[in-house]
Amino acid sequence: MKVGMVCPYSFDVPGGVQNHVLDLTRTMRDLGVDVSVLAPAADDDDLPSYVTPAGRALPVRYNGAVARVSFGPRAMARTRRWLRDGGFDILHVHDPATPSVSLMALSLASGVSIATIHTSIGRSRALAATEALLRPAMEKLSARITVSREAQRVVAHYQGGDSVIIPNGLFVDDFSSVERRPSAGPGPSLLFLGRFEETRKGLPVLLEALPAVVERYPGLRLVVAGAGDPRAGNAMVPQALRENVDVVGRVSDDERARLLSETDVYVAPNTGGESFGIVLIEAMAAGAPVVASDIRAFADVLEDGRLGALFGNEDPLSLAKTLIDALDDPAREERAAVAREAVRRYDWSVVAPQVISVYETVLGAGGNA
Amino acid sequence: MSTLEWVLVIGAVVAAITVALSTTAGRLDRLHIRLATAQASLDRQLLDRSTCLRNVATSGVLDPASALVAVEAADAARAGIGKVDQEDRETALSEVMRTVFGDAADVDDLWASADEPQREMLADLGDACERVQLAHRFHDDLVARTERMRRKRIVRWARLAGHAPWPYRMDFDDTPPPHLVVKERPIAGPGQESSATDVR
Repeated sequence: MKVGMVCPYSFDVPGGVQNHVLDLTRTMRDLGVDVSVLAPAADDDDLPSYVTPAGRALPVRYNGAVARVSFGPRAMARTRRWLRDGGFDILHVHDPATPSVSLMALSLASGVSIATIHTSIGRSRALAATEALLRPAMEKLSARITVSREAQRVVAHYQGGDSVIIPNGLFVDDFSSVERRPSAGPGPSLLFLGRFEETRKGLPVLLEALPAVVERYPGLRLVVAGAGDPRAGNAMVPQALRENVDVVGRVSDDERARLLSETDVYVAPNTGGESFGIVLIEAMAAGAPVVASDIRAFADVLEDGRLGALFGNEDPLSLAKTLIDALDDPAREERAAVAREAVRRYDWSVVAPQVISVYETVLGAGGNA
Repeated sequence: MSTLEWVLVIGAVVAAITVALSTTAGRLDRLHIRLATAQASLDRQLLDRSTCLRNVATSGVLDPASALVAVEAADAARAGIGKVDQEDRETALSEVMRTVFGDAADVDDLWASADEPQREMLADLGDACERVQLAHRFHDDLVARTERMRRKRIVRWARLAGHAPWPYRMDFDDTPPPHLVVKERPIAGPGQESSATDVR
């Protein structure tokens, strides 16, 4: 089976969808599926042999966020050539509503195509014009995969119809192989991961909740790690909390796994816009107890509180109380161990075959359609 | 000198100063009016450019990804007129247009593949881009002239500018994609069916 996979976002910046595409491709190739990838990238970028660059990406404001994407005649020509040379049995595009090579490939495709929809951000303005531009391409899709119940709801709401849920995958062993060593410091430790300057990642909520927790645990230390300027991060921290908060900025994947293995509680105060909680899965795989906002995507991943504690979204009082409860709980590590086992179902060895089943199903049905 | 002579001399000096002031004030006032007109004209041309781009994007002549980006950029520019980040939005629009339309050969191909109404829209967009460049130049020229006037000592000391805001250039990139402006196109033009078919 020859599969053409298209990622709309540039590989020159790390991102959830980019990682998903590369890891899924790697796993499927190991399983014997012939997968080629097309993605925005410059010709001189260091890319795996199965990735075709669609040309330099341009940062574009789209639907309230900035995405690095490729468009225009040059990207179109590259896409056309990749499709022609590839001779794919199935075309698998990611986030086809993003104006980039996914949408182009889909608009050019004549064979069987499916899409994975990652974004949970609905169309902020339902523009008749843009809907009309998307419709002809979208009608070609034989099946749609969404990554979570939240994404499925959004797709049903904005585009109508049903989609199959296949969660984002993870190489669980990358995180579970690191030995768990919590409570290394004098007081308990908390960990925040993510672009701390983006308010929807929720650092302001956490900082507002923190004084109450520090009052009970004076030696508490919060580590803030993620893409962004550490000076800007430090500026967000009130003077009274400077002793307790440590902004370390961007960290490598290995460091992230180590930070997760050492923290007493991983906190995800994200206020919205998440379709899936891959970091939550990573934290659970590393054995870290999780405290997360009760946005739908997180509640789904945490199985409504069975695998981690949920607090009222954007409510610092609720967060403070939940954090104190979690730190007080002597059975914290045992609970985390349950979650550590539960996340095995997100391992790529489980998830990739589900995607292959979708391919086989639509190819079987597509033959006489 | 007698008292009368003194009075006459002082009177003459006062009269000369009054005439100089009022003449300068009048010139400055006319410059300000012209600048306001130029600003309004530039805004109108920018509005026209984003509207034309939106028309082209929704006409089906572009690929859907480029069309979506173009619509988004056009809407952002339209919403940005008179806002603090207007220049950034217009620059972004120009950059998006150059990527969407590509180089001269791409524009020629696009022209060849377009039907008659689409060609009209493309030609309108090319015209709008050209008028934006002209209006931009006229505006900045008036800014420069008004600035020079307002730096004059007499204007500053006598506060002749009153509460009129200090004039600023509109600093944005207005370069259109090559071959989109019709006069740059060597052969094909609207209605020249034969040459357009040759390109294909």
